Amino acid sequence: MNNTSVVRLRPTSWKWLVVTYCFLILFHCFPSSLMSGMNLIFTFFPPFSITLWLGIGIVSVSAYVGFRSLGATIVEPGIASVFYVASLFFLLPDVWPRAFYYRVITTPWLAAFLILVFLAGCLGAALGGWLQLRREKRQALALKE
Amino acid sequence: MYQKTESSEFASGFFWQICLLAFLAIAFVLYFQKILWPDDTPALFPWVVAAGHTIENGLLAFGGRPATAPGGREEASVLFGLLLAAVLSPTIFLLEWRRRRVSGPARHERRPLRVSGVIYALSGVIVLSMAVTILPITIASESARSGLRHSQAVLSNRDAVIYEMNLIDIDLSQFYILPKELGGGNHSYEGYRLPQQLATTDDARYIVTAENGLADLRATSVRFPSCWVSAKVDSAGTMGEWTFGEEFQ
Repeated sequence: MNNTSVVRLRPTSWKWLVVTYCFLILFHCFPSSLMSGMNLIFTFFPPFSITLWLGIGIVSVSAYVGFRSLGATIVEPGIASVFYVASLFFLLPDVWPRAFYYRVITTPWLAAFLILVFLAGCLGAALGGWLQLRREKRQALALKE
Repeated sequence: MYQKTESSEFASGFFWQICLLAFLAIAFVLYFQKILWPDDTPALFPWVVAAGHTIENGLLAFGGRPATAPGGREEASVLFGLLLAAVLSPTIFLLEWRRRRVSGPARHERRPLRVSGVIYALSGVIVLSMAVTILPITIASESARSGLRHSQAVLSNRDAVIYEMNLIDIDLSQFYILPKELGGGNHSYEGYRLPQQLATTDDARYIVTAENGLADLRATSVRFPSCWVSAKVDSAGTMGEWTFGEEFQ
């Protein structure tokens, strides 16, 4: 069996964890705050736009990390996404109340929210890993020919 | 088990450089946005600041107060936005893109992550954000401008029609008062004929019909043919029961 067609496990890389977190800050939070004062965006769009904004950002950045890193990097983007969402509490304080539709944030809901964020990070990374495997397969085929 | 080699994934010094860059971004978001743009000024769209200032000055003028000049902080934020969005990011993006096209390695070759690549991607994100949002913003603002011009034209036409209906009302009152021997109606609107210069103007066409001691006056706009106004004139010459049709409402 071709070794490019299986998921290659590797130890959790804390460097990729930090790099994913930095990528989320640089490519999601920073451009968003440049594009407009975030309050402006949040005022004009319905509350679920926050979920879209977070989901698309986390999945895209995690997918890039999953694609770019060697081997299967799945857990690191998930953990980094949770840290990122937690730091948004200080960076963009308006995100949290709107993400909870202005309801009181209770512990079960908070846990569910963070698990969802973790899963979104893992999903994006898995998607990136799958794309990486596809590319490697294509390259291996091209080399054989 | 796959063992990663750092050199194949990250370029030398990449790790601390990306951490520094992220730290700067956090500092920017945390402090600069709160200090430089406390009112959520969009840095990438400096014209929004200009529009806000124009509106603010308009409101001041409406209140009889003098217009104010933008403050130093506002000017600095606009300058920063212009430099970042229209000069710095496109320059870095285009120069790096060209360098990669001219002398970069082949696409399938795996290169270690470099901070220059991250800055290139970041510039690309800013340039793309600008490019993607400018078209809808332009269409929306042009549509809002044209809508505003249209509403102003409709309101202006409505005012002109009301003014001309008042002129007709004066003519009707004269006709009502005058005896028949002098060409009047002798306390009646029966037999009134609208003078040609009042019946059709640049703004509207008017029709007067007399019914039960009242005159019914109806105007149809020339500029906006679907729009109309009707009113009744009583024996005292007072206009009432105004009705506005379509966009005149």
